[in-house]
Amino acid sequence: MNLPQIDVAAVPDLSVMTGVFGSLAHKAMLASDDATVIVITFLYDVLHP
Amino acid sequence: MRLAPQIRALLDDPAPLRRAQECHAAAFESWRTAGETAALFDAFAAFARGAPLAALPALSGLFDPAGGGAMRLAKGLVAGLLPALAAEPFGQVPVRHQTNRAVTRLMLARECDATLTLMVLDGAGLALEPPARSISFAAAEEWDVVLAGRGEGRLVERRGTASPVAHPLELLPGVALGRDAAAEALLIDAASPSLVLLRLQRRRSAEAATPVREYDLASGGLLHQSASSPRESRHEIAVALLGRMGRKDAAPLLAEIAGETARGDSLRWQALRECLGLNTLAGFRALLAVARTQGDPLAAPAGALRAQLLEHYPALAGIDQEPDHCHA
Repeated sequence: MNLPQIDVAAVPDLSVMTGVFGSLAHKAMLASDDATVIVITFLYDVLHP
Repeated sequence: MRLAPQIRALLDDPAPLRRAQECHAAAFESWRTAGETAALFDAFAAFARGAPLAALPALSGLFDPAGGGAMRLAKGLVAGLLPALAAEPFGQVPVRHQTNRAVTRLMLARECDATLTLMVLDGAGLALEPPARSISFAAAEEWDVVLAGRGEGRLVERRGTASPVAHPLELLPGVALGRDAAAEALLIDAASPSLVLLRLQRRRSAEAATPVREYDLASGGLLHQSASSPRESRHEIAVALLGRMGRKDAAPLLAEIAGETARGDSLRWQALRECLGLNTLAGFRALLAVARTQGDPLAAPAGALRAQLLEHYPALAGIDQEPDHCHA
């Protein structure tokens, strides 16, 4: 079968996109999950091995 | 840059800094392993592995306003760490922390999907922040107890597809709340002069693929959603990378991820897109399998994409007419 090469850029995304872990639309003061703590501690571990 | 002579000396000879760090680590460790705290940390480890809070009196006692356990925990921590800080002011307290003008967090324990965090909200800092416009819900369980200070907050409820409803809440010492964070979130609007809280959280691992959703408080509209676990985002980045690297050998793996309904929709869709780009046959077969799976949240967008691709690439009709691979 001679199949075409599909261009990924032309394949649409879902109508509701999902941001990466810890991303926020607004600077949430007290986000109701531990994402901020995990992101901050990840950065801490990266920056202070 | 101007450096205090004491800090300059530490740059020249790091040995005193190491000793300072050891002093802080020893202080924290002796607090963590002593009597009541040791029992609490054992209970926390069991909680992190999935035990119900009610079965762990050493941990659940923290959220019993009559017991005063949370206050004893905080006082014990302060009594254990402050002498080390006084003796070695250049050492770093070995507790993960984060601070901004409104809130300071000290993460006392973290294991698997659970955390125990001491939080202090500063009333003056909080007053400088713009009022909350949105609220986030995550697949997690959360318990809070107020140790000291006063605050005003709102318990925001969101059931099903209804708009969030806020109930005013006065936060006073001893107030304890247990919440399903997927349906109830706590907003703290004011503190005077400050508010000290102990918070226990556990993400529900069975719902690791459910995104964290942020809604507009006024309209109830969805503002944003994000992956609820770092692992999910890491996999999504890996999938994109495999696509950019042109790793055709990854196509079967990507097809497999696309079909796994326990994973997040976003990760599955990206796997499907990249698979289509790497191997037309494997990708289109994976797309058909998703489109034909009843109850799959991606069935509808996969069906729409199938129709779009068939229109653009009539040669795909040959695969489209193959017997159903999904149930083969």
